[in-house]
This record gives sequence, structure tokens and C-alpha cells, in this order.
Amino acid sequence: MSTKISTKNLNLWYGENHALKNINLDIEAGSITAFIGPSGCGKSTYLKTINRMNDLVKGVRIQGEVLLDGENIYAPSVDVTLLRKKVGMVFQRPNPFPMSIYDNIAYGPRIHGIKNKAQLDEIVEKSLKGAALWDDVKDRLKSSGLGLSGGQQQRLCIARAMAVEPEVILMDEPTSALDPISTMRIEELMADLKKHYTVVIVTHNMQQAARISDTTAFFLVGEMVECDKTDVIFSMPKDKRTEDYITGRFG
Amino acid sequence: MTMRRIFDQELDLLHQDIVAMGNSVHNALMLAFQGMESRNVDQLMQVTADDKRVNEMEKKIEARCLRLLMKQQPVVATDLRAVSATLKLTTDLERIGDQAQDIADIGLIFCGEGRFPLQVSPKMKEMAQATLQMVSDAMTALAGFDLALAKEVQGRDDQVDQLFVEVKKELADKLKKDESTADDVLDVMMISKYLERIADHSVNVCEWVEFFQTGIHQTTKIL
Repeated sequence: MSTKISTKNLNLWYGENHALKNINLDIEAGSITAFIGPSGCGKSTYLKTINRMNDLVKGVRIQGEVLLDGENIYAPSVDVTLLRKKVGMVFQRPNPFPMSIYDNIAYGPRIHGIKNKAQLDEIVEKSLKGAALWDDVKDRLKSSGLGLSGGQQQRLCIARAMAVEPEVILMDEPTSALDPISTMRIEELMADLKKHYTVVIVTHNMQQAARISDTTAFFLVGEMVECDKTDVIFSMPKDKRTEDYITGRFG
Repeated sequence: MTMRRIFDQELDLLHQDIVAMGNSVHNALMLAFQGMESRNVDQLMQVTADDKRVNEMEKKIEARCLRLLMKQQPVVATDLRAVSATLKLTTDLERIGDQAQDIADIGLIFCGEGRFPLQVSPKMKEMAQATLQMVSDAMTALAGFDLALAKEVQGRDDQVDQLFVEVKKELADKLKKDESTADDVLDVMMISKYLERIADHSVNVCEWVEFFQTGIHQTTKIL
């Protein structure tokens, strides 16, 4: 296993609020890493630093480095659009664009310059298959993405992220708005995704972290308290605060 | 894409492991008897070597069960029964393996001393065959989730217990007639007691197979 994302001495402030405190963390390629911790602990903020989504927040200040394949993504020369092509994101609430299923998937590739119909067709099919949605929608690619069920919409969003061939997929509580069956389908999809992508997920659901992730990191008030193999975090955490959180003693 | 594919794969692997362990202990018991009958020291030694492997299998299965409980946290009764029944019956399989080794150890002692105590009790051979068949059928029931066979095996325990009583009587008569047979009689008594316990463990295995299918253990609904 090689390191895909390496974070060194990362600090982040929203105005006066020191939201991330000296984070140091390596994320392995081809694995699923879960971030857990109570609300406001910084896990989503940290996730968003990996594709510079925090740049969009007013008054944000960031120090330290996040290296993707050894390159600092906060270096002045970095093209943020290209970075976000490499590091895709799926959000808590499914957010399909108000357009057809086909156009939802083709949107990203078109922005990156692909105009050829046959090539787009191929990308749409491959992405929908990759997100386990093809069989559900292959006969209605021209209908609106908004007409799908919540679980299907979230898989559409995952397919949309995959369409630009990213290397990393970030997921911010991707199943918290879904029913248990849709959740299970997304979880199984994630297990498939890690064969081709590095997956990083923020989840409030500790059982989900235990089920699907290879590595788990526990965050608390802006600190990364502990990061280890998921089996270790859930069977023998080193820090008392991790144990207290995963056993439901606080948070 | 099927639901819960990963969990189901893990449960399948768990079942494969427990069936493999069951076959290993059955094999160990057969080897112990063949070794004693043919006075084959290599076979008897093999039982000891195999028992180490059985103990490793037990640890592997326990670890797999606990990891499943930790990672998958089964909430559906069938899943909970599968994991808990496996944890329980692993202990019984391990005990059968240990007792097969105890029998082989006695065999090694009398091979070393040039005795042949099996001759003192023809009934013991019958008891050994009945017990081996119980173990074999318990493993078949376990492998195929065969509820009918599991229940049938439980019913056969009385037969082995009866044979044990007959062996004891046979041995007591032998000893009364000829005190010089004491060593042989005691060895065979020990072997018979191990067999009686092995039959009990086979019943336990079958009870857990029944529990897995029905949630009922020894006539009590426990899950």
C-alpha cells in the first residue's frame, strides 16, 4: 500500500475559530478511510481541505500541507479545477443537477472538453454501471435525475463523481439521508469503489465505519485524536477519549 | 447486486471453517482408533500433531466470529444465531479433538509397553463404532444444516451411554476373574469414558445446529 494523501501540520481557522489543530495523517491508496467524531469536531472540515472546498468559505485561513501523490495541493501553481477532477466529492444530501440522468453524468466530462457523443455515451454507461445504477435507469436516461428515489439519486451523484475519472472520492455522510436498504447498497458500492479509487468518508454512524472502512480516524474539537486500522480502533483504541466516544459515553 | 453481499460472504467462510474443523476432529478420532487397532505408532503420533492444528482452527474461528460481531453487529436473529452457535459449538469440536488425542496418548503408552488391551473388551469396539458414527453424522448435520439428522443424532446418545454401562460391567467381570488384567482394564475404562464424553459433545454440536435453525436450545427458546 502506498500513501495517496499525506497531511502535514495542517491548521485551519474560520475567522477566530481554530477548526483544525495541527492535523497529521496519511491516507493509503485503494482503501476506505472513515472519519468519525461528534458534530463540530472538524471531520467534515478536514475532508473538505482534501479538494480545497474550504477555499470557498469566507474568512478561512489554512496553514500546513496536504500532499496528493506527494504534491502540495495548496501550492500556488495548483489548478483547483483539475484538483477537483482528481478528487471528487459526494455530499450528505443527494444533489443531482436539474437535468436528465444522462446530462448529469456527462456534465463533468463536457466541462473537461469531451464533446464526442459516442465517447460521452461510453462514459455515461461505464459510470452508471460503476455506481450500480445502470440496470435501474438504462431505459430512461433522458428523464430527469430529480425523478429518481433518494438512494438512486445518491448513486447518480457517485456516478457523476466517477465520470471524470477521479483518483480519490470524498464522501460527506453519504447515507445519512437514506433508508437502510439504500444505505446498504451504497456501502456495498463503496467496497467495490476502493478497488479503483481511494475513498474517504465522513460518517456519524459508527457501525458504518466499522463495517466498511479499513482505517478509522477519530476527531474531537479540531484535533485528530487517533487514527489506526478500523479493527484496532473498535477493539483496542489507544486513547481513552476514542473508547468513550465509540462506546457512546459522550458525543 | 445482492444485498449484504460482504456479510454473507463472511458467514459462508465462517461455515466453511467450522465444517473443516469438524472434519479434522472426526478424522483425528478415526486415526486414533485405527492406530490403536493396528498398533501403528505413526498414526497415533499424527493425532497429537493434528490436534495442534485443530486448536489453531478454533482460535481462527473465534477471531472470525468476534470480528463479525464487531464489524457487522448483526441485528437479525438468523445472523446472531449463526455467529453465536458457531462460537459455542467450536468449543465442543475442540473438546472432541482433545479427547481423540487423549485416546491416542493411551494407545501410545500400551504400544510402548507391548500390551494389547482392546482385547479385554469386545463391547468397547462396538461403543467406539457407535460414537464415531455419531461424530460423523453430527458433522454431516452441521455441514448441511440438517435439522432432522441433528435431532436423530441427539437421540442416539442413550445407546452409547448403555454401551458404556455394558463395557464397565465387562471390565469389572474381567478384573474380578484375573487381577493381572488391571492395567489393561483401567486403560480401556479411560478410553470408554472419553468415548462417552465425545458422544455428549456430538450431541452438543447437534443441539447448536438445531438452535441455529430454530432458536431453540435444549427445548428452550433462547433467541
